[in-house]
Amino acid sequence: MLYQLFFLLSPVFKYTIFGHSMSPTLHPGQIIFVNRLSYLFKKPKVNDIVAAKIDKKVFIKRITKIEGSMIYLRGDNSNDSIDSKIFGFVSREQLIGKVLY
Amino acid sequence: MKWISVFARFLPSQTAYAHCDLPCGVYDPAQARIEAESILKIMEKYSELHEDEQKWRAVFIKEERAELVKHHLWVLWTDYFKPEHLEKFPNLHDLFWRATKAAGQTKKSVDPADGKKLLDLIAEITDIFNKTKAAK
Repeated sequence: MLYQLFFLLSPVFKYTIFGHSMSPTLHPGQIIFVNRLSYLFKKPKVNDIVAAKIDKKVFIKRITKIEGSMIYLRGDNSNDSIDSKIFGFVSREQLIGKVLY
Repeated sequence: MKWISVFARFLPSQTAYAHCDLPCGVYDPAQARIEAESILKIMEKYSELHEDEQKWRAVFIKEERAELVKHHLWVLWTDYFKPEHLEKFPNLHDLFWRATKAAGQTKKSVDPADGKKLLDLIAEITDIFNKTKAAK
């Protein structure tokens, strides 16, 4: 229980990439780290690669547009990416953090 | 970044999607078939391998592909196929159950017969899939 709490409160989350939409920047099977504190004092910026929670799943995408608190996400491999062109803008609250390599 | 690499050793990894598992409507049993073909090829070549390292790598890749087969079948089973398909093809649940079990079996085995069995079951699923597509 304490172990789970430790990870829940961790400032960094570890993810394994599933899928090709961020190729060639990130490839399937690659392990990445997401800094959950990135946007505590800073605002998200265009070109940041972020983890976002959409439909109870975590997606890794790049910010391509910011309009107020709404953020537009695209995959680098845009031909093979389900991103904001499908699910629309996401809110600032849906961002988990910024991807660290 | 050094502190992250030390800290990360103790972190469990979760899956982050860089493609769709949203209802994008793109489904194809070919994904499972290609992975299953890879499993069968590895099984066929396994007996020709002599180095432990090669054998270990072959087993590792085979297990990885088997997991992908399971994933692709589950996506078809749970996302693509609908109750009306089950009415038309009442063996659908049993077929997927046997196919995912067969994928599990290919993890444990290096017998090409197990790989062939998996491919045959995927072929049956493909046949039903094509019929449902043609009916649209």
